[in-house]
Amino acid sequence: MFLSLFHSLRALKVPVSLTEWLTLLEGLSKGLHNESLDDFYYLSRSVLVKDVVYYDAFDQAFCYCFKDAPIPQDLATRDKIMEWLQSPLAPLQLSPEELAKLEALSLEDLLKELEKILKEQDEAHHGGSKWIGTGGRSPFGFNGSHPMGISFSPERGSGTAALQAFARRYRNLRSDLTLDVRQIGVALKRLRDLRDTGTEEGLDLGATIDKTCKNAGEIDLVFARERENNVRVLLVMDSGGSMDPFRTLSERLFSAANKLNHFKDFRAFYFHNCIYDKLYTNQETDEFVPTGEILHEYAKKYRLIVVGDAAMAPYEMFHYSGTPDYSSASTKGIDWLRQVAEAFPQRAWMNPLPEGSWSGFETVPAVSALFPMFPLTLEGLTRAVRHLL
Amino acid sequence: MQDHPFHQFSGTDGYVASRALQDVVNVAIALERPLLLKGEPGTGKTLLAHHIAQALGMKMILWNVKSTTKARDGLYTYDTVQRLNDARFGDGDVRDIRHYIKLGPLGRAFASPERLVLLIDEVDKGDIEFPNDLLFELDEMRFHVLETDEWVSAVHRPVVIVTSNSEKELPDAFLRRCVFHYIDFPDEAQMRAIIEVHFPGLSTDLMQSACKIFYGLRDVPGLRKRPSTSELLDWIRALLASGATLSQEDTPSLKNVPFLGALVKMEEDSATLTRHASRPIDARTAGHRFFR
Repeated sequence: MFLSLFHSLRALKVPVSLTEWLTLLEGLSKGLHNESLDDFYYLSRSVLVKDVVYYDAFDQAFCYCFKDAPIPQDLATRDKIMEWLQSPLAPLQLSPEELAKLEALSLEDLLKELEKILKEQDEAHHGGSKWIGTGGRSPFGFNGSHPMGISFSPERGSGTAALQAFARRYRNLRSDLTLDVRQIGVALKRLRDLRDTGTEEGLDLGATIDKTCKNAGEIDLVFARERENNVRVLLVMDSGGSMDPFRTLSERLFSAANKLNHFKDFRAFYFHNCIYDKLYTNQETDEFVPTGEILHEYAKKYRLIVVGDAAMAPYEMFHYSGTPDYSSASTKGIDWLRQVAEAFPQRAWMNPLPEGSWSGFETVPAVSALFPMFPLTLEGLTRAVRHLL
Repeated sequence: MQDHPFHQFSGTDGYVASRALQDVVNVAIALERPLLLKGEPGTGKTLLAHHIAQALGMKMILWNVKSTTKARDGLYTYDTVQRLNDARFGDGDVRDIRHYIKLGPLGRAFASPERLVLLIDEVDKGDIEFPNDLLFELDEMRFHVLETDEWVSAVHRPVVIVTSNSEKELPDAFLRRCVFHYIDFPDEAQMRAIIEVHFPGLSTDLMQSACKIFYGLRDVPGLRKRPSTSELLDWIRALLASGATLSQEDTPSLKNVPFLGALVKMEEDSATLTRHASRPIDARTAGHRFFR
């Protein structure tokens, strides 16, 4: 009778394994639930759920199984759609004539059509003209070229979408990604430069034996300092609108680097669209540090990792004051990028866009001329780490 | 399989445990699995282990994990240096290697003739692979001493409490073997009970305004380190010792709070507070809207 709880949890993407299920059965056979629903709730939650981010999902599954609450359909569907929209294609370049050919539907028609498609679609489709996907002519999804579409992008994107389908956002994205964060962490661990700077002394066995032998058996102890990682890392991340589909990915990289406890020093900053005279310390608020100060403080000593799609509007890069907000700035975006590149001899740019699509953007080649660019994948990260060493 | 009497843990005189927490502790004891505790700093994760030991009348062994801690350190260390020194100066019984095998916290917990509580504190401070290296030992409750070719096995499976501040993700294999509980930050009613335990007979006025300021402070956005229970208790202790009074206003301003340093520890946070106090709420969010 409890199996439905197990299956609902799995359906809601809570990582529950057989081991945990058997532990729960063991607990039940010992009578730890005290024949009360409350105690059973705590028992099953503590045994089955291993992270606080799943508590909400567990509650929903629990209510569904034991209190006849409906399974939250919208949540399940939403996650499915967001999954289809992962690793999006770049927008198609369409001529105005082609655009005009695309039928401009009314909002009601779109919603009706969406409902139909939600019933039919069961996997990701990119670059097409009907299903929910990215980079195509379909009215659904994002980065699409349809002039009147429904966007599933968590934030307002290029502006033509008639409706923001999902206003709900997960701010705290360092959650359901344990395994991936670990994978990235393991990849980043290779970024090290061991130096004999440790303070703790350990016995150097080999040297001790050598010295003792030379002393004709008279024991002579030799100590050596332990080795420590000497790498300092500066992570600068784009948090502009076009990066939204990749927010999860970049947050993963951030969590991994931040939690690794492996670098001598680790700093992170954010920028919007392009690096100008300010780098932000916090995504939520507008606290910033002048870029010049950062260059002065971190240049040469730190290894720089930039995360961004480098796909800006050309005017943001090649004209003075990329956005109205930067009216005081008197340097072009590209010049700021050049200054940053010159200040950090060991630098890498991680681009979440698929490597094949880079040439489709006007600004990407300009950026990759300044920064060695790698795709933001596990493989690309490994390459970047090798390059940074 | 149930050799031990079912220990009923229900908090102690010095520790207010919520119903969920009591249940989880009892589950972990009965299932003989490590109990993994997470939660904001200062919610009493470490303290819980002390009080479980106290409530169950067991001894406690503390293993404080640091960034340099290796899993092996917990089992045993072989003191080569001591042995070599002894060999050099002719002290001690150098022939018997056992004299130089020193059991670590985990080893001592296994070897103890009575059941006890083992606290592995801040497991996430260790290396990323640290918890994985302990899987076998925590499962089987025994380990092999290479130098003597002997096994150290647990006479009684210790009650293992593991705390983590979520600095690092813990490996799945490790999580699968644990009983997990997230200690919620206490709400105001619970907080009053906790204060009552530590300061019996505290005046209602002081309790009221202290809680108000405390929770108000926790709501300030952008704080790097929000004040926790233990800091609140320290702060009340300071207030009592100095005889300072708190204003009874409905919306106490954070400027004139005595001993604010007991609650807010980071210089950055003091700056945030000053800015928060002098800045209208709307202006703060206006800037970043633009980019969204």
